Amino acid sequence: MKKIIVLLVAVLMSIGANAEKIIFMPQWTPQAQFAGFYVAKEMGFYEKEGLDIEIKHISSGSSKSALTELTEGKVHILGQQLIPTIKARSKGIKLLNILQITQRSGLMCVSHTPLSGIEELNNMKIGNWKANSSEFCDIIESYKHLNINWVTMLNGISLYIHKVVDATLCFSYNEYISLLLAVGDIPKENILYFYDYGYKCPEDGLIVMEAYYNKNKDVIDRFVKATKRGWNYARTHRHYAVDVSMKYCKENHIITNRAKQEMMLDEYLALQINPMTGEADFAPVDEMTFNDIVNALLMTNHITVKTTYKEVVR
Amino acid sequence: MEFITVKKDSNILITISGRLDTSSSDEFLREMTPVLEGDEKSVEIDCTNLEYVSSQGLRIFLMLQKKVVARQGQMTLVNLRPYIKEVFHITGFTKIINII
Amino acid sequence: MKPIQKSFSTRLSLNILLATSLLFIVAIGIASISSHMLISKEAELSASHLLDATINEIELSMREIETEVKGTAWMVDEKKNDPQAMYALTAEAIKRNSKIEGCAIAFSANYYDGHYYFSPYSYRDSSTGEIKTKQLGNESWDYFYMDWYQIPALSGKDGWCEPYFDEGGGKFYMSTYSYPLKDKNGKLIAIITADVSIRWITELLETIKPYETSKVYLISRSGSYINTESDSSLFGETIYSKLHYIEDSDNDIHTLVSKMMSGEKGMDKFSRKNQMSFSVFGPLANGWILSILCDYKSVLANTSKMQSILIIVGIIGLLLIFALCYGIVKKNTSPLAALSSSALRIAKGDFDTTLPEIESDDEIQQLKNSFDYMQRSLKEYIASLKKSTATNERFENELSVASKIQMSMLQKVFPQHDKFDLYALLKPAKEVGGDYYDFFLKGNLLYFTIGDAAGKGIPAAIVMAITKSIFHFVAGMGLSPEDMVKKINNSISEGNDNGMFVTMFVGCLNLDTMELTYCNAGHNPIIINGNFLDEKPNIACGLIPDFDYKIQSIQLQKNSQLIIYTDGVNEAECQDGKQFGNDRLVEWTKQTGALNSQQDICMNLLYAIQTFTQENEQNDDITIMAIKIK
Repeated sequence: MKKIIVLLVAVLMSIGANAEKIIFMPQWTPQAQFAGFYVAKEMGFYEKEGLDIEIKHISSGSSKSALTELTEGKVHILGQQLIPTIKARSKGIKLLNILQITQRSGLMCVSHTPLSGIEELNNMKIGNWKANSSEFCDIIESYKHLNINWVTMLNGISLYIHKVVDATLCFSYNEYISLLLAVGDIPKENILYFYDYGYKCPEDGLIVMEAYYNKNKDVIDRFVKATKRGWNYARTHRHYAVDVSMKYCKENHIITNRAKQEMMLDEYLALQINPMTGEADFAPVDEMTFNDIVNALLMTNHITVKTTYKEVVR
Repeated sequence: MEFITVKKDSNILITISGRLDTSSSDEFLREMTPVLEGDEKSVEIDCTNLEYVSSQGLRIFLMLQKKVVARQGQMTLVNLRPYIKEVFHITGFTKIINII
Repeated sequence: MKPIQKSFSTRLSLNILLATSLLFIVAIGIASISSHMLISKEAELSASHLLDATINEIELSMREIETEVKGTAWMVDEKKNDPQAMYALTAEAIKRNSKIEGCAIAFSANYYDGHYYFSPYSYRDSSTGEIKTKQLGNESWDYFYMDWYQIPALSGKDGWCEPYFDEGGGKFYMSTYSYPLKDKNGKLIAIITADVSIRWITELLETIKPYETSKVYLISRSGSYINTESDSSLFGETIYSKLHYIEDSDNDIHTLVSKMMSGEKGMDKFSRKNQMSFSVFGPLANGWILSILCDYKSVLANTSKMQSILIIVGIIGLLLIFALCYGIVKKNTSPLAALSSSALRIAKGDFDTTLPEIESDDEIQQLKNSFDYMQRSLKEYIASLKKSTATNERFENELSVASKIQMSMLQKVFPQHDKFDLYALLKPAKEVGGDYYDFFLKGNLLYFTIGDAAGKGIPAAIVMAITKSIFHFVAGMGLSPEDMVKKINNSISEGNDNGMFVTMFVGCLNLDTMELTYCNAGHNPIIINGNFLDEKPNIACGLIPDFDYKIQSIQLQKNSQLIIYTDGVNEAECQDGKQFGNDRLVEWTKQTGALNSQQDICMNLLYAIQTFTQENEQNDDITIMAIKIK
């Protein structure tokens, strides 16, 4: 028996030793949004697939964008929302979406006043991130024929808290939770989910360079498999998943609190539920939704070259 | 047994009634103690109702007689029934005690 | 199991102890509740005053900084045409107020043509303390989107930013005060700022804890705890992230937090983990919230200590009361216990027990008197009972001794002789023993006698003993009956104060001649062949000394039957007082022919007497002697 264990350990170690180091970069600083990856790494799911995965978070001081890191090959797998992915592909960066994690949009709007409908946003002064969300704003405005006074912001919540804006854009799993933990309670009638108004674009997915994909198809399959396993484990072991998330936060000197990570995990896992199947099935975005988004981006002049579903989704 | 004592100056009249037997003679002796130790010169004993006298009873009469005689007095038994008198006679007491 | 018996004093003392304890508990309860209320109120009030004072102090310092910045803003407005002068202004602000770590004058975009970013900035070097100056603002330091710029720029109002943790510098929370400088048209010229380390605030807060366990919280407008130095577990937390883990059922806390965070000033109590606490809270002018939290356990620690002392003193007091009660009750009831044990001794027969002295003049004294009376009565009664018992015993003893003497003096063996037959019997009465019979054969002379001594008991026995000895002495010498009687008479008469006497018949039968000589000393006449013998009565022995007794004689024939008896025979009485009498006796002797032996004659006569007397008690000895000449 002992011999078998020794042999097994030796085999595992040899796999580990032979495995090429793969660097995965989530799209933001450590938080429970990436709990599934942390769990997969901590539980050894990647290792069991013969993978040596390094989770490398973006650093706020870095001048390079995450996408640049990917194109330069410093990072092998990148977490990214669907719109930037389409945009990059349209610009000719040959990347592929290898896994769609969230199944619906967590984008929402939190107001100081009640919102009976999306029309209410008209003429409102609304906080919006400085980076990466102007496409969405334009889509919403043009789709719903709204005229919104967007206020660019760096920090997600302070403009709202200091009431220098009427409302602010939020992700339900992140800023919204920060807001809740800052002001205690936000009336349900003051919030609005864009998904409820027909905005079907899902957000977080994993992308790789097409060239990398072609070369390491098997590695990526195994990575995807282990990642799914990690998320499924996190779903059934939420306390542990939060523990691990907190550990990553601490290691990266992220100032946070457990309540936030816990609430974030819950919401993020909810976003992973496919509205069509009712299950967290990591289904790829369907082609029609994809094409709708491409068309909307074309219409708002965010892309000039049409990107096809097959180019991006594998 | 009943004793009635009537005293007048130095004379005393004692009336005895009932049976003067061994058991009652003690009582008789007690009753007679004042007479035995007194100074009456004339002691008269009425025996009308004396029904019986035992030798013990006779002894007390004898003691009375001796005491009274010792103080120069006189004791007299009166009205004895015949059969009582016979007892006094037989025993010879009539020789010592004055019986009328 | 036998229940434990508690003495009266223990029980009474316990009852008093119980009652006093109840009063004590109630008193302690009331005292502690009222003192708790008083002290709690006092603590709440003083904490609230402390809060006010602290808020004032912080606001005062903040106002100094604000004034400094506003002053700088005024200078900026004065010198806005000289961009290079701005650097000096920032440095001077730092110099003037030691609390200011950095000062920036961030001009709006392109305020000076060609300069999209222009923000002169001075700061205190954290290592050397030197004031350094530079221009902040470029594409990677896009200050227009920073809170300290954007918020006042958008609102048009001055204010304090959300504190931030300065990881690079002093590792302390910093906060920035921003003042928007606007031109006459209300257009923004610049945001003038002062970076302030809020270390001095957190240090101040450390000093205001009313109790060791008290907690002081400074909370920013976004709910973050600012003073996390004293409690690192608060780092990164907001008041709501903490509240997230407090059950909804803890209503008090949720209410408190919402009141506090709405900017209200006040005081609230709440209970958490079975511990009551209160919090005083109030907002600072910049929207931050200060709260002081105290638990009542600490507040009341001193009273609790006092209470413990009170309880200990109380318990000691109660024990003393118990001991005192016990002592007093025991002292007052000890006479009862003593009386009770005396009564027990009396009951066991110790009538000489001394009753305890009772000093008090009360019911116990009365009880003692009753006991005393009872004891004396008992003692007297028992004494008289003893005496009478003793007398009776002596009496009975004496009688039985006399009776034994009497019976031992009688001859039970009768002579077998060819010339005469003789038998005698004596049936003693219950108490009296004065009868006596005897006979003596001397050659051809048969002496026989029968007597009846007056009285009873030992004196009668002595008389008989004398009689018997003289009878035997005289008979042994062969003297005549008269000599015998005379000797007996003189012996008894000698010193005879008691009036002792004995009646007797003495006979002497010459067996050759069958002549009977006899002397009767006051005795019943004998019967010969059914007739009373002619006898001179003489006198009973013991009455007259030297009395001249006369002797008589008679010639008896063959078959002469003699019956000699005592007065127990003829004076035997039946129930109605009738005597057996001489006539009946004589009649009976005439029918004796059929009887063979003298024993039969004696027995038959006794039987006849008993038949006559029936159930009536025999009141004198019955003695019968029968002699027949052969």
